[in-house]
Amino acid sequence: MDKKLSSETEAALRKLAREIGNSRGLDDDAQEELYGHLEDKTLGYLSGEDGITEADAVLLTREHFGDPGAFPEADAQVQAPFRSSVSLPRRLAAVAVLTLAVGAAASIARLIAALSMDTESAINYLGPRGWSLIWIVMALQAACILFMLNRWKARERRSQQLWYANRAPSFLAMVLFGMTIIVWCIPEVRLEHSIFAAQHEALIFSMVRMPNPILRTFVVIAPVVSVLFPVLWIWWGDCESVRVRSIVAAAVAWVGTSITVSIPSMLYGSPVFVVGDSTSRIEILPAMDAGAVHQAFGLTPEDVAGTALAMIVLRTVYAVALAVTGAVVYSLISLASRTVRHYGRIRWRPVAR
Amino acid sequence: MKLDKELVGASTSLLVLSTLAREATYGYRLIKAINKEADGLFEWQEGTVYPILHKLEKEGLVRAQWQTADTGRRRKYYYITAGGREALGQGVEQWERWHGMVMKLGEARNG
Repeated sequence: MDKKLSSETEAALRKLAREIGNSRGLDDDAQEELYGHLEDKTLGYLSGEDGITEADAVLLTREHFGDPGAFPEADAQVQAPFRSSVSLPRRLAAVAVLTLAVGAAASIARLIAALSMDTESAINYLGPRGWSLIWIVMALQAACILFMLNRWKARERRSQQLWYANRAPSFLAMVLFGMTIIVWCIPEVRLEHSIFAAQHEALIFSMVRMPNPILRTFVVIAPVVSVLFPVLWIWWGDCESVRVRSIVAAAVAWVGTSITVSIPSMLYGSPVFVVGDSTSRIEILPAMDAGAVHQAFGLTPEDVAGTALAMIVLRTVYAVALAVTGAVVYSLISLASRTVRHYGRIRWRPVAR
Repeated sequence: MKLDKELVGASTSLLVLSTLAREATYGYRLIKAINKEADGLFEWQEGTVYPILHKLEKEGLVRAQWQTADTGRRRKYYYITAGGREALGQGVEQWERWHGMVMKLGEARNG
């Protein structure tokens, strides 16, 4: 069995593995496993008493696997959607921890950007460094979450250990609580009409206040990225047999996490790094000043009746709207993906005339 | 004598798990080992074994790992997990009960 095959034979077997794999829609890992099997099969023929040549052995192997029904069930396995063996609550707790951790890292990145930038540039959108930093941080946030979720899925496919699979529920709850506190403690960078406000005020103020036309792209980018987060959550949750329930649960969990994280700052205020005209400083802003809602709607703190309730309600409406939009976008992407896969599997043949 | 396909089909996962419980191995060797044990009662092909291995992997009853075989080639080895051993124990127990019932009925038929 330890005979070395010639490079021609290996190439022929690679080709055969690719042909079988492509016709059955096998992924790279399954194709590699198939190649190993073809190699062993060929070596098995070669080690027989007849003493056949490598070319004959490849022919025999090809003939053995030539039957289209050779891997009928494997085909169904590969086409089947990914199903997680970890319970949905655990998976949602994991994605909540990940989102909070990435959010905290993004806040720190914005803080460093604010500290490293001179105030005048920040206020007047001077130079490419400022806006590109915000862009990069926003894009990286979503990309990091997608990367990690994909990685966890791959680990589960390979039956490798996942940190959230076997931990006690109390441990997961503690981590979530800890991450919420961390997110709350990291100062938010705030300066109205500056690049640091662009992310929050994009929809309402960007067109008017942003002199730089490139910065106006935030009008598109900010909502797209905002919707991307619930889409990622829903995609991550949709790994169970009961699809609709999983999708709804993931959307509700995202809304819940989003509101829970913002409640402390609405009720008790939060530290804010203020980029001012004359000086930059960190302040602990009281609850009513912590949110941007009253500014966004042109209201004074007094207008919102001195209570955080109005902001919590608005925040909830905003989160629900994003989650619903996310669910619609996810459904459309899912439908398009299924359609493409369906038509991709059809073997198109010319019509006989 | 060849065994009835349905009878063999009902115990495929069990046979794969019990073979892996003896020794972790990869698909090609697993097929060889099972067919050798079967001694002509049945003969499994790739289309039977790989889907079962992938299904068991998804269920967490086995785990797969790429490693170098003693031939020096990279192969995907399958290891039985603790859950797999538990499922194997339950499956064997069910088969023993089933076997006992069939034997009892057989004895009754023979008078």
